[in-house]
Amino acid sequence: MVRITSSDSQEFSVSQDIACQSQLIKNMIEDVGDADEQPIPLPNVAGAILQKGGSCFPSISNAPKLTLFAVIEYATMHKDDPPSAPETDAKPSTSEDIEDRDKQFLNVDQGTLFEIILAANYLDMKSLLDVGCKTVANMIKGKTVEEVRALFNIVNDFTPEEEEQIRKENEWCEDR
Amino acid sequence: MSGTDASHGSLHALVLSLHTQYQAQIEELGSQHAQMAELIQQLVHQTSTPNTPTILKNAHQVSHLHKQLQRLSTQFSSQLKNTSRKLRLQLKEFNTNRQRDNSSTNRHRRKILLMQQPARIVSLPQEVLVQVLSWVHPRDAFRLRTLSHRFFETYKTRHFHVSNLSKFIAPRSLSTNKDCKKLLVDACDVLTFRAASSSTQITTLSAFAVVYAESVLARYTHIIWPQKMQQLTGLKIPHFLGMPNSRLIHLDMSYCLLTGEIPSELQNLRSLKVLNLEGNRLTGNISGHLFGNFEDLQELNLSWNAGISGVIPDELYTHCPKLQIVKLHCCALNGSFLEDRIGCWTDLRELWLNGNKFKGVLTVGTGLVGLVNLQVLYLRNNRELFWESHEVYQQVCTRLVNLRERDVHRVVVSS
Repeated sequence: MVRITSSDSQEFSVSQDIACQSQLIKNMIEDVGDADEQPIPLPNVAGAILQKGGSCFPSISNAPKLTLFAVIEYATMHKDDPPSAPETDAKPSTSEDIEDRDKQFLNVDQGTLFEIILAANYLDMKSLLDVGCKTVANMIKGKTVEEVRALFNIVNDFTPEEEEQIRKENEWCEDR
Repeated sequence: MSGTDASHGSLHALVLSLHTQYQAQIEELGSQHAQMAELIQQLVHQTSTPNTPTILKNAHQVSHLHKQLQRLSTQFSSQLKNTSRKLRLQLKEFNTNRQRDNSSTNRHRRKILLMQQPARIVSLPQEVLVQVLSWVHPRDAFRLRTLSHRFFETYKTRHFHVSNLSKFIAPRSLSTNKDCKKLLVDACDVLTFRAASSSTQITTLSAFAVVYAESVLARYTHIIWPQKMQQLTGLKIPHFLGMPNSRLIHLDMSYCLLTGEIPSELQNLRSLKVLNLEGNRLTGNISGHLFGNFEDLQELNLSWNAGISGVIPDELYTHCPKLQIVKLHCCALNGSFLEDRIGCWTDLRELWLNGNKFKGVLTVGTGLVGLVNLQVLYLRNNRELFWESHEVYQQVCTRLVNLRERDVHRVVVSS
């Protein structure tokens, strides 16, 4: 078993094969050697104050899934996956290639989704990062610029002059 | 916090103005008091030696001063009352502001505690954003980069180009033909190629386009540019086409409205087997220096480029011995028909030289006789190119057993 602690000092105990899906933790364990002695601190990943239906703040309904909690859930789900085969030319992957269980797993509010992606990036979990990025890409696809801005709360920070400049550059690639 | 700051500022200003005001008034009062004290002192002195008129005059002055002092202090006290009320009001406002700010800070803190402040798409570091966007088709790149500066910058990175293109270029090629990675440039490619070729105008876009084109060329062995390219007037063969690492063996840019000389950029395409530049607006000579590079060239088509003139360079015979199909018809080539040179192309199957300005007389000794594989021979419409005689023509044709198509022969008019 490996002990890991989140940024808010919540401690988790997970089996080594689950924890080692994170390349970061794997490297740490390899560097440190015996992992039982001390919990591995993960200062960049929020922990578990809010377990689903947690009692700390009962007034908050539909509380976001806890990041580290969620990540462990994902890792547990995928612990028996074969090591990912290198991408071949013969079978190109698209952003639509997401397993149903992953789709369900990532069916969360935006904040949580990005938290999970950030955590996956920090923990160096390629498959989770991959599936997270695909999910976001699918949210972007087929939408107009305005729709994407509204969806992700992106502020248009171009000056009117800059916008005009870009519009001009784009002109010749439209209506095709 | 700004509410508190503001009210704190105004409170401080008020107290400061009060301070100067009172300072002035206290000084005024002080001087009046001193004057009065002096007068009373005089009175005390005077009453010891009776002198009624002076005493009366001084007493009168004392009472006048007294009245003045009374008036001043009433004014002073009313002012004091007024400003203290103002001060109280200000203090109250200050307090409410502070309380409100405090409570909102607390709420904020609580929120952070609860939500860890929800992450947004802009919280993603650039390398992750690149991964997200790399799954979106390159045709959307031009649109989505207008989302914000953040996206604009991300779309500019080479990292994005590479990971995006690796996902979107391979699939199309393989869907059609598994064995020969043939590229039929589609509308999107046309755009990016076009952007790449006009790099001086559109810098950000062309950076993307160049990488796009490079990765296309790195992957494909066959490129066929579509007729669509005709719309894109003035397109030059892009400079990146001749990347040294290109594995291109088949380049078809026929009817693409290419202008200028045959691009020297092609010289790096050393594995080229098929070069088709038919029906463009190319001008100038066929450069021997350029064609000396294509040792594997099997098919050359420069036909219907009325501006291509000069002679067939020596290198085309000596360095391109594998040529099977030579289509140079309907250009403006001249020079003598080098019979013995033709013999270098031992595999030649088709020879199209009609519609040029070649001159010469074809004899039995012509290199044509050795071209046993020749199936198509077109030499007509060269005003000064003749067969020596009908017999020679017949003889040659009999020798070329595979000849399927040939044009009407012309012989030297004996004169």
